[in-house]
Amino acid sequence: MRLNVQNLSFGYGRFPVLKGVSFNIVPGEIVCLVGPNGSGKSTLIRCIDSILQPQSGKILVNGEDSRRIPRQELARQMAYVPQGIQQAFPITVFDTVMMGRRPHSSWRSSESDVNKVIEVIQLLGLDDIAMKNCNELSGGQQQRVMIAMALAQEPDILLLDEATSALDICYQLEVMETLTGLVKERDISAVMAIHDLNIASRYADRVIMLKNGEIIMEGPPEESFTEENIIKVYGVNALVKIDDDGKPSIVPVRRNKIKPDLKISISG
Amino acid sequence: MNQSSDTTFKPDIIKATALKKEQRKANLKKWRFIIILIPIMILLMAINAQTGSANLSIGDVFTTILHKFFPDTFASVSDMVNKIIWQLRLPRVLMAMLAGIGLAGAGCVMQSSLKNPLADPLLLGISSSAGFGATLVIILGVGILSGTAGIITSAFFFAILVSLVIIGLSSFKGAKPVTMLLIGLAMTYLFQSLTQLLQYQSSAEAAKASMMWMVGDLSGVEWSEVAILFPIILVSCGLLFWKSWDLNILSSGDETAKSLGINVFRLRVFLMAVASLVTAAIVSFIGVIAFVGLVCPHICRMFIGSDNRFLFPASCLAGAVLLLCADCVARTVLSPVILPPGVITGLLGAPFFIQLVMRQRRELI
Amino acid sequence: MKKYNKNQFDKTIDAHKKKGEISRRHFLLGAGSLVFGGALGGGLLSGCKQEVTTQTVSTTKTVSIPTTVEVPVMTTVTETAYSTVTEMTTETVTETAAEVKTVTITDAAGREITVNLPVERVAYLHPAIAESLVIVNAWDRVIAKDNYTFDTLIFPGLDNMPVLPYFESGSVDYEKIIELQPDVLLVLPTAGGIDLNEAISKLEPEIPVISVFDTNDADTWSKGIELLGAVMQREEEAQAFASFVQSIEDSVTAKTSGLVEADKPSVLLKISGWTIDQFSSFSNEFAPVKKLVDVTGAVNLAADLPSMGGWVENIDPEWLVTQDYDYVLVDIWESYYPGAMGVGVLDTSAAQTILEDLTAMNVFEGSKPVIDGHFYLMDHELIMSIRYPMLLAYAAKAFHPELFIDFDPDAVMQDYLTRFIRIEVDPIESGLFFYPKL
Repeated sequence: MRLNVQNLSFGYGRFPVLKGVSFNIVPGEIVCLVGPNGSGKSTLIRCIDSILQPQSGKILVNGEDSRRIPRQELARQMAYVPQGIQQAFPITVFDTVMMGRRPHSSWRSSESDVNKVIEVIQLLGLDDIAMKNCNELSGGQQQRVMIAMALAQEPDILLLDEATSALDICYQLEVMETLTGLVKERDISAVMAIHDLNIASRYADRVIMLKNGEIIMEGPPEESFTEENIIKVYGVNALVKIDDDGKPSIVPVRRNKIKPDLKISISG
Repeated sequence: MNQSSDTTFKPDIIKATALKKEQRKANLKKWRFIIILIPIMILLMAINAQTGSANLSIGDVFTTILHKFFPDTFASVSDMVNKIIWQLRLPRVLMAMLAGIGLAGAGCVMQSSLKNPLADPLLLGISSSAGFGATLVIILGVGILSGTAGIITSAFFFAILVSLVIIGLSSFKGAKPVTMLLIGLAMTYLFQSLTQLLQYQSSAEAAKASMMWMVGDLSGVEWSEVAILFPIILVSCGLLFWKSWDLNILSSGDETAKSLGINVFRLRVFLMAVASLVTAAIVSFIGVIAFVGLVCPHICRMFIGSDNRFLFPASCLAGAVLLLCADCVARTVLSPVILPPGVITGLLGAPFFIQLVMRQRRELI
Repeated sequence: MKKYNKNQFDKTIDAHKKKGEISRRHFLLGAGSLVFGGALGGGLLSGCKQEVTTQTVSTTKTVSIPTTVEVPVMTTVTETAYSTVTEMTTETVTETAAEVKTVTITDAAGREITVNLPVERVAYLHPAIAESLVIVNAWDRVIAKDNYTFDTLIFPGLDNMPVLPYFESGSVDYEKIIELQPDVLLVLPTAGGIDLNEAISKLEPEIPVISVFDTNDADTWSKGIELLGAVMQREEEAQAFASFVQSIEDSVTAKTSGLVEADKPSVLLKISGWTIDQFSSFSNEFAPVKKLVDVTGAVNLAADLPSMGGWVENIDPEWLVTQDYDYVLVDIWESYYPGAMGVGVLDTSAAQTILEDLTAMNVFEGSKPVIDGHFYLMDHELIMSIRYPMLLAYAAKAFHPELFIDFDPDAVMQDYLTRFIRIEVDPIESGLFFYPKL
């Protein structure tokens, strides 16, 4: 499924968060959104999923304006993984993942829904905690539950908002590999906001670097993650080394003496 | 997790079957809880039909009940017994059941849809506005707007009006739970003050009457009232049960719900409107019975968890059980003087609830 | 000494204060409220000890009847004392060097109060006191009305009077009272809104605070009138009212005293509950009701039911169905049935509708009182105010029509309205107090 983001702008009140963002996503692609805190990554993801309504610009899903697509229909095409679980009254992992079947079911779940849920639960290794309440889980387990819920939705596009940040490195890699596997196997796509540049570098087909609501750089990791770009976006001096597989690995060294934000605000 | 770089995933069939079994067992346990409540409720209804100030034998009670349906097989015991059972006890028993179901069901829905464990069907100014409507008629009522019918109509009108105002106002802010709660709280105080203002200017008796009106009371329940309340409760609870899965999603956060294709705004307004309607109808007929709506969902949560597909019917039944118990006590302790059941629900329910809370090992909220 | 037990009085007041609201009727429940406020009241009492039985200490000459000096006005238990009104008054009118006349009375709260005479400026805080002031013909001395007195027919000049905004659920405007400078403030402390101790500390000694009635006593109305008579120097009027009340009682008891238990009908008093659905009543613990059935020769169906100081909150209707009783007297309360009964009400259609609604209730439908036509509505004022003596007249005739063939309770009410309230109303048009008409 193709996703086109066209000239998207969004602001909370009078504070602009996204300023005319445009990019495209094609099936089978993993796109990582990187950028400092407050650069608009999460907002962009929420705009794509119509959780937030952009002030201007559009999102085209297979060429159709997402605003014209009914919510439930959209939910079958896109799944969103939030930063954490916000259940007011905790329910079990199984029932939480089952909620991902809502867009495909009527008011009750069916036998085939149960099978799909079990499959996803196994895929993410949640078997042993499936009957536990979500509030009894660790942060990492909760993140996997949310990913499982999104996968149960069987979407064409996965939107992940810092979905692996609470996982330890082992699970981080495992989840990323599961995701990459699914994206390639099912020919779906994933857009993920991510902080860890090395993870992004290793798994992303394309990296979009955001700063102050604007796209600074867009391209494959080896093109995007250069020392200059990292200074430009984060204001950090870093060593970028190209690994044997051609992927850059980034080692932050120290803060750049000239704060990029500060410079802008002085000149502005 | 048995796959690494190998991208094709092979499900573990044995584990999957085990998990499926476990899930089924868990659901069965929840159903069992619900199903056990039904005979308990029916038993309590029978006990309530059996006990009373007039000493009637079990045989007389059931013969009289069956006489209505099979007049040929079962002879009428006496007109007096007939009157006691059919006109005095049964409407009261059914009203207690309906009110318990409605209040606890509304409580369950409001807690989940407002994502607040302290939400209560009487919140959102419903009880205080109904009280204001009743007070208005008690103190200033004239013409058609006086007497029982006037009080009930006015109470219902104000309760519904305030629910609509709250839902309408909070809609400007996207019907967020906190906005609803805060506006509801403000409405509660507004109507409390208005009621007090009226009471302040009125004679002490009228003030006291309007205050006592607020204490839930099942006296003088008539079939006509049961007949009005029954379809309201039936339809509303049916609608709420139908939306109970969506309610789970709603209580998992607005963002998640939106991304799962739920129209959060419309769903929350719908649920709140239906729950308010149920509460308003009950409050306008029998006054405020606190505690049932707040506590029954929590009690059930301790046994079967927070999945509203099970929690909602369980809460409804638990509400009926609690209110029937309370009414039984209210009618027997000082017989032939009746205590207000609204007072007994708290007296009975609170210690039981606290004991459950203290014994609870799992964190539920 | 039981009836005017000071402890009980104060406790009651305190109990009400604690509950945050006070009602006239609720006071009638007196002892019941002790349950809530008893402990607190007890503590408070020790502070205001009362020597009810001690002799009035007076340094000057006593001009009143000396034989009963020891007995303060409100401590008499004799039921038949009405014929000798002056004997029960412990008033000691004294004259000092400055020629100031004073009267010392013991009020309904058991306080001994000395009042300078003559009392020309009167303020009061309760509509029952307003009617009592009319009875002793002292209404013209009232300088401020309370905000529950509305009837300009009974109370002339109301419109131009300043209001003492006292609310039964609120507090008294003492500032206004002090500004108006009345000679006395008349209160009904057991009713609403007044904290007697607070009133005393704020107003006395400049403005004596006199408690007129103790509504927990059937005889209180006459006694309160006597008290007012003494303070207002209208002993004649007070005595006239007392004899009027006594004559009603006498003429009733003359015919009912010979009745044996078997002749006494069983009566259900259906008092307006706090909600319409409630079947409230009074047990015999409530003195006015005990007196009602004793004098009129009847048996109270709720005589021994569990109660709070006589107030039976809510009777189980199914119990009523199993009971054998002859009469129902229903208290018709203005708040629930506005304009249905009372002074000047001539149209009986509202009362008829209420009667039909009530007799059709499933509890009463087909019951003995309904079949026999022994189902009556009574105006709330009859049982809850100074018009109580007229209730004896109406009830006696209702219970024993054959004994009271020549006795016309409406004429008694008419007599009351013309002689004591001094309003000119057509005998037939005085109003609707008991329905159906006897």
